[in-house]
Amino acid sequence: MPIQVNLERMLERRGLTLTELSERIGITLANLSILKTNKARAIRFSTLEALCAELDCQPGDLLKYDDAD
Amino acid sequence: MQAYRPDRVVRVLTFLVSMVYYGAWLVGALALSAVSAVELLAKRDTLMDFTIGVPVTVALPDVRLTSGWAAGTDALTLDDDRVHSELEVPIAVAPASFRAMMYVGLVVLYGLMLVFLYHLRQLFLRVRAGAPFDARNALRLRWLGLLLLASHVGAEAVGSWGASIVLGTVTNETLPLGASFEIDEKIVFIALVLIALAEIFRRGAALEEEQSLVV
Repeated sequence: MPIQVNLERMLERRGLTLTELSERIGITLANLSILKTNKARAIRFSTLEALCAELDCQPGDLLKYDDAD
Repeated sequence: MQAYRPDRVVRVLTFLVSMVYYGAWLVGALALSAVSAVELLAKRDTLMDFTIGVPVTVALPDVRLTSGWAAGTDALTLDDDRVHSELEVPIAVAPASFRAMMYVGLVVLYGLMLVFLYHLRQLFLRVRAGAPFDARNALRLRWLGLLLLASHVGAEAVGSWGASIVLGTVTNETLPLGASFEIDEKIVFIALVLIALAEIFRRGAALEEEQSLVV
Protein backbone atom coordinates (compact mmCIF):
# COMPACT_ATOMS: atom_id res chain seq x y z
CA MET A 1 0.00 0.00 0.00
CA PRO A 2 1.65 3.28 -1.05
CA ILE A 3 0.16 5.15 1.93
CA GLN A 4 2.41 4.51 4.91
CA VAL A 5 1.42 5.24 8.52
CA ASN A 6 4.26 6.53 10.70
CA LEU A 7 2.60 5.54 13.95
CA GLU A 8 5.64 3.86 15.44
CA ARG A 9 7.83 6.95 15.00
CA MET A 10 5.19 9.21 16.51
CA LEU A 11 4.75 6.86 19.48
CA GLU A 12 8.52 6.90 20.12
CA ARG A 13 8.54 10.68 19.97
CA ARG A 14 5.77 10.86 22.57
CA GLY A 15 7.12 7.99 24.65
CA LEU A 16 3.92 6.01 24.42
CA THR A 17 3.21 2.35 23.78
CA LEU A 18 0.49 1.18 21.47
CA THR A 19 -1.49 -0.10 24.46
CA GLU A 20 -1.33 3.26 26.20
CA LEU A 21 -2.41 5.05 23.05
CA SER A 22 -5.30 2.61 22.64
CA GLU A 23 -6.51 3.31 26.19
CA ARG A 24 -6.20 7.07 25.78
CA ILE A 25 -8.06 7.49 22.51
CA GLY A 26 -10.55 4.60 22.83
CA ILE A 27 -9.53 2.72 19.71
CA THR A 28 -8.93 -0.99 20.10
CA LEU A 29 -5.42 -2.36 20.14
CA ALA A 30 -6.33 -4.60 17.22
CA ASN A 31 -7.31 -1.63 15.06
CA LEU A 32 -4.18 0.31 16.03
CA SER A 33 -2.09 -2.73 15.12
CA ILE A 34 -3.78 -2.85 11.72
CA LEU A 35 -2.89 0.81 11.29
CA LYS A 36 0.68 0.41 12.52
CA THR A 37 1.41 -2.54 10.23
CA ASN A 38 0.00 -0.69 7.21
CA LYS A 39 -2.78 -3.23 6.66
CA ALA A 40 -5.59 -0.70 6.95
CA ARG A 41 -7.65 -0.02 3.83
CA ALA A 42 -9.04 3.28 5.08
CA ILE A 43 -8.98 5.55 8.10
CA ARG A 44 -11.89 7.57 9.46
CA PHE A 45 -11.43 11.29 10.03
CA SER A 46 -12.52 10.76 13.64
CA THR A 47 -9.67 8.28 14.13
CA LEU A 48 -7.18 10.62 12.47
CA GLU A 49 -8.42 13.46 14.65
CA ALA A 50 -8.03 11.39 17.83
CA LEU A 51 -4.50 10.32 16.85
CA CYS A 52 -3.40 13.84 15.97
CA ALA A 53 -4.85 15.24 19.20
CA GLU A 54 -3.11 12.66 21.39
CA LEU A 55 0.19 12.59 19.51
CA ASP A 56 0.20 16.38 19.05
CA CYS A 57 0.94 16.22 15.37
CA GLN A 58 -0.49 16.94 11.94
CA PRO A 59 -2.09 14.34 9.63
CA GLY A 60 0.89 14.79 7.33
CA ASP A 61 3.21 13.70 10.13
CA LEU A 62 1.34 10.44 10.41
CA LEU A 63 0.68 9.67 6.75
CA LYS A 64 3.22 9.42 3.97
CA TYR A 65 2.77 8.55 0.31
CA ASP A 66 5.51 6.26 -0.96
CA ASP A 67 4.95 4.84 -4.43
CA ALA A 68 7.99 2.60 -4.44
CA ASP A 69 6.57 0.11 -6.97
CA MET B 1 -19.39 -0.94 15.49
CA GLN B 2 -21.40 -3.02 17.97
CA ALA B 3 -20.67 -6.71 18.28
CA TYR B 4 -23.18 -8.90 16.43
CA ARG B 5 -25.59 -10.84 18.63
CA PRO B 6 -27.78 -13.48 16.96
CA ASP B 7 -31.43 -13.08 17.84
CA ARG B 8 -33.65 -15.75 19.30
CA VAL B 9 -35.02 -16.80 15.91
CA VAL B 10 -31.54 -17.63 14.64
CA ARG B 11 -30.73 -19.62 17.77
CA VAL B 12 -34.00 -21.58 17.56
CA LEU B 13 -33.60 -22.25 13.84
CA THR B 14 -30.01 -23.41 14.37
CA PHE B 15 -31.20 -25.80 17.04
CA LEU B 16 -34.03 -27.13 14.83
CA VAL B 17 -31.80 -27.63 11.82
CA SER B 18 -29.23 -29.43 13.99
CA MET B 19 -31.94 -31.75 15.32
CA VAL B 20 -33.21 -32.46 11.81
CA TYR B 21 -29.64 -33.11 10.61
CA TYR B 22 -28.79 -35.58 13.36
CA GLY B 23 -32.26 -37.09 13.11
CA ALA B 24 -31.81 -37.64 9.39
CA TRP B 25 -28.56 -39.53 10.01
CA LEU B 26 -30.30 -41.68 12.61
CA VAL B 27 -33.31 -42.35 10.39
CA GLY B 28 -31.04 -43.17 7.46
CA ALA B 29 -28.99 -45.61 9.51
CA LEU B 30 -32.13 -47.27 10.86
CA ALA B 31 -33.74 -47.47 7.42
CA LEU B 32 -30.58 -48.95 5.92
CA SER B 33 -30.43 -51.56 8.68
CA ALA B 34 -34.14 -52.36 8.36
CA VAL B 35 -34.03 -52.73 4.58
CA SER B 36 -30.91 -54.90 4.78
CA ALA B 37 -32.54 -57.09 7.43
CA VAL B 38 -35.73 -57.45 5.41
CA GLU B 39 -33.88 -58.27 2.19
CA LEU B 40 -31.57 -60.80 3.80
CA LEU B 41 -33.74 -62.45 6.43
CA ALA B 42 -37.43 -62.08 5.63
CA LYS B 43 -39.44 -64.88 4.05
CA ARG B 44 -41.45 -64.36 0.86
CA ASP B 45 -44.74 -63.96 2.71
CA THR B 46 -43.24 -61.18 4.80
CA LEU B 47 -41.59 -59.58 1.77
CA MET B 48 -45.04 -59.21 0.17
CA ASP B 49 -45.88 -56.74 2.95
CA PHE B 50 -42.94 -54.46 2.07
CA THR B 51 -43.25 -52.39 -1.07
CA ILE B 52 -41.28 -49.99 -3.22
CA GLY B 53 -43.43 -47.07 -4.38
CA VAL B 54 -42.99 -45.68 -7.90
CA PRO B 55 -44.75 -42.43 -8.86
CA VAL B 56 -47.35 -42.74 -11.60
CA THR B 57 -50.05 -40.61 -13.11
CA VAL B 58 -53.55 -41.95 -13.57
CA ALA B 59 -55.57 -40.52 -16.44
CA LEU B 60 -59.14 -40.10 -15.28
CA PRO B 61 -62.08 -40.40 -17.65
CA ASP B 62 -63.84 -37.18 -18.55
CA VAL B 63 -65.41 -36.10 -15.25
CA ARG B 64 -68.38 -33.79 -15.46
CA LEU B 65 -70.66 -32.84 -12.59
CA THR B 66 -74.03 -31.20 -12.42
CA SER B 67 -74.40 -28.27 -10.09
CA GLY B 68 -77.57 -26.85 -8.64
CA TRP B 69 -76.36 -23.48 -9.90
CA ALA B 70 -76.75 -24.61 -13.49
CA ALA B 71 -79.50 -27.21 -13.48
CA GLY B 72 -79.63 -29.56 -16.41
CA THR B 73 -76.08 -29.03 -17.59
CA ASP B 74 -72.79 -30.66 -16.64
CA ALA B 75 -71.24 -27.36 -15.79
CA LEU B 76 -68.49 -28.50 -13.43
CA THR B 77 -65.42 -30.17 -14.87
CA LEU B 78 -62.11 -31.28 -13.37
CA ASP B 79 -59.29 -28.87 -14.18
CA ASP B 80 -56.66 -31.61 -14.35
CA ASP B 81 -57.70 -35.06 -15.53
CA ARG B 82 -54.46 -36.64 -14.31
CA VAL B 83 -54.07 -37.77 -10.74
CA HIS B 84 -50.67 -38.37 -9.20
CA SER B 85 -50.29 -41.48 -7.13
CA GLU B 86 -47.80 -44.21 -6.24
CA LEU B 87 -47.79 -47.76 -7.51
CA GLU B 88 -46.73 -50.04 -4.66
CA VAL B 89 -44.56 -52.91 -5.89
CA PRO B 90 -44.05 -55.71 -3.31
CA ILE B 91 -40.37 -56.44 -2.80
CA ALA B 92 -41.09 -60.15 -3.13
CA VAL B 93 -42.17 -59.84 -6.79
CA ALA B 94 -39.64 -57.24 -8.00
CA PRO B 95 -36.48 -58.64 -9.60
CA ALA B 96 -33.25 -58.20 -7.61
CA SER B 97 -31.72 -55.93 -10.26
CA PHE B 98 -34.69 -53.55 -10.09
CA ARG B 99 -34.60 -53.50 -6.30
CA ALA B 100 -30.85 -52.91 -6.26
CA MET B 101 -31.07 -49.99 -8.69
CA MET B 102 -33.96 -48.41 -6.79
CA TYR B 103 -32.08 -48.78 -3.50
CA VAL B 104 -28.96 -47.19 -5.00
CA GLY B 105 -31.07 -44.33 -6.37
CA LEU B 106 -32.71 -43.80 -2.99
CA VAL B 107 -29.37 -43.90 -1.15
CA VAL B 108 -27.90 -41.31 -3.52
CA LEU B 109 -30.91 -39.03 -3.11
CA TYR B 110 -30.87 -39.44 0.67
CA GLY B 111 -27.15 -38.66 0.60
CA LEU B 112 -27.85 -35.44 -1.32
CA MET B 113 -30.40 -34.51 1.31
CA LEU B 114 -27.86 -35.13 4.10
CA VAL B 115 -25.30 -32.93 2.33
CA PHE B 116 -28.01 -30.27 1.96
CA LEU B 117 -28.78 -30.42 5.69
CA TYR B 118 -25.06 -30.32 6.52
CA HIS B 119 -24.52 -27.12 4.55
CA LEU B 120 -27.71 -25.59 5.95
CA ARG B 121 -26.59 -26.35 9.50
CA GLN B 122 -23.10 -24.95 8.88
CA LEU B 123 -24.70 -21.80 7.48
CA PHE B 124 -26.81 -21.31 10.59
CA LEU B 125 -23.84 -22.06 12.87
CA ARG B 126 -21.77 -19.35 11.18
CA VAL B 127 -24.64 -16.88 11.45
CA ARG B 128 -25.10 -17.72 15.12
CA ALA B 129 -21.36 -17.27 15.67
CA GLY B 130 -21.64 -13.70 14.39
CA ALA B 131 -20.20 -14.17 10.91
CA PRO B 132 -23.18 -14.07 8.55
CA PHE B 133 -21.26 -12.45 5.71
CA ASP B 134 -18.66 -15.11 5.35
CA ALA B 135 -17.24 -16.19 2.01
CA ARG B 136 -17.94 -19.79 3.03
CA ASN B 137 -21.61 -18.93 3.62
CA ALA B 138 -21.82 -17.58 0.09
CA LEU B 139 -20.45 -20.86 -1.25
CA ARG B 140 -22.83 -22.83 0.96
CA LEU B 141 -25.86 -20.94 -0.31
CA ARG B 142 -24.85 -21.74 -3.86
CA TRP B 143 -24.44 -25.41 -2.93
CA LEU B 144 -27.87 -25.38 -1.26
CA GLY B 145 -29.47 -24.08 -4.44
CA LEU B 146 -27.68 -26.59 -6.65
CA LEU B 147 -28.37 -29.50 -4.28
CA LEU B 148 -32.05 -28.60 -4.13
CA LEU B 149 -32.25 -28.62 -7.92
CA ALA B 150 -30.21 -31.82 -8.26
CA SER B 151 -32.17 -33.75 -5.64
CA HIS B 152 -35.54 -32.68 -7.05
CA VAL B 153 -34.63 -33.53 -10.65
CA GLY B 154 -32.88 -36.70 -9.47
CA ALA B 155 -35.90 -37.83 -7.46
CA GLU B 156 -38.22 -37.25 -10.40
CA ALA B 157 -35.81 -39.07 -12.74
CA VAL B 158 -35.39 -42.09 -10.46
CA GLY B 159 -39.12 -42.31 -9.83
CA SER B 160 -40.00 -41.94 -13.50
CA TRP B 161 -37.43 -44.51 -14.54
CA GLY B 162 -38.66 -47.00 -11.93
CA ALA B 163 -42.28 -46.40 -12.90
CA SER B 164 -41.60 -46.90 -16.61
CA ILE B 165 -39.91 -50.25 -15.87
CA VAL B 166 -42.78 -51.41 -13.65
CA LEU B 167 -45.47 -50.22 -16.06
CA GLY B 168 -43.72 -52.14 -18.82
CA THR B 169 -44.52 -55.35 -16.92
CA VAL B 170 -48.20 -54.59 -16.27
CA THR B 171 -50.50 -56.93 -18.19
CA ASN B 172 -53.98 -56.01 -17.01
CA GLU B 173 -54.08 -52.25 -16.92
CA THR B 174 -57.55 -51.23 -15.71
CA LEU B 175 -56.83 -47.51 -15.77
CA PRO B 176 -54.50 -45.59 -18.10
CA LEU B 177 -51.26 -45.23 -16.11
CA GLY B 178 -48.15 -43.29 -17.01
CA ALA B 179 -44.73 -42.65 -15.53
CA SER B 180 -44.66 -39.33 -13.72
CA PHE B 181 -41.91 -36.77 -14.35
CA GLU B 182 -42.84 -33.30 -13.31
CA ILE B 183 -40.50 -30.52 -12.36
CA ASP B 184 -42.00 -28.39 -9.61
CA GLU B 185 -41.43 -24.80 -10.67
CA LYS B 186 -41.64 -23.67 -7.02
CA ILE B 187 -38.55 -25.72 -6.18
CA VAL B 188 -36.72 -24.36 -9.22
CA PHE B 189 -37.65 -20.84 -8.13
CA ILE B 190 -36.42 -21.43 -4.56
CA ALA B 191 -33.16 -22.88 -5.90
CA LEU B 192 -32.64 -19.81 -8.10
CA VAL B 193 -33.34 -17.53 -5.13
CA LEU B 194 -30.69 -19.39 -3.09
CA ILE B 195 -28.14 -19.06 -5.88
CA ALA B 196 -28.92 -15.35 -6.20
CA LEU B 197 -28.57 -14.95 -2.42
CA ALA B 198 -25.17 -16.62 -2.69
CA GLU B 199 -23.97 -13.83 -4.96
CA ILE B 200 -25.37 -11.22 -2.60
CA PHE B 201 -23.61 -12.85 0.35
CA ARG B 202 -20.37 -13.01 -1.63
CA ARG B 203 -20.53 -9.26 -2.13
CA GLY B 204 -21.47 -8.86 1.52
CA ALA B 205 -18.43 -10.89 2.58
CA ALA B 206 -16.18 -8.68 0.45
CA LEU B 207 -17.71 -5.54 1.98
CA GLU B 208 -17.33 -6.94 5.49
CA GLU B 209 -13.68 -7.74 4.90
CA GLU B 210 -13.15 -4.25 3.54
CA GLN B 211 -14.99 -2.78 6.55
CA SER B 212 -12.90 -4.79 9.02
CA LEU B 213 -9.80 -3.04 7.69
CA VAL B 214 -11.25 0.47 8.13
CA VAL B 215 -9.83 1.97 11.30
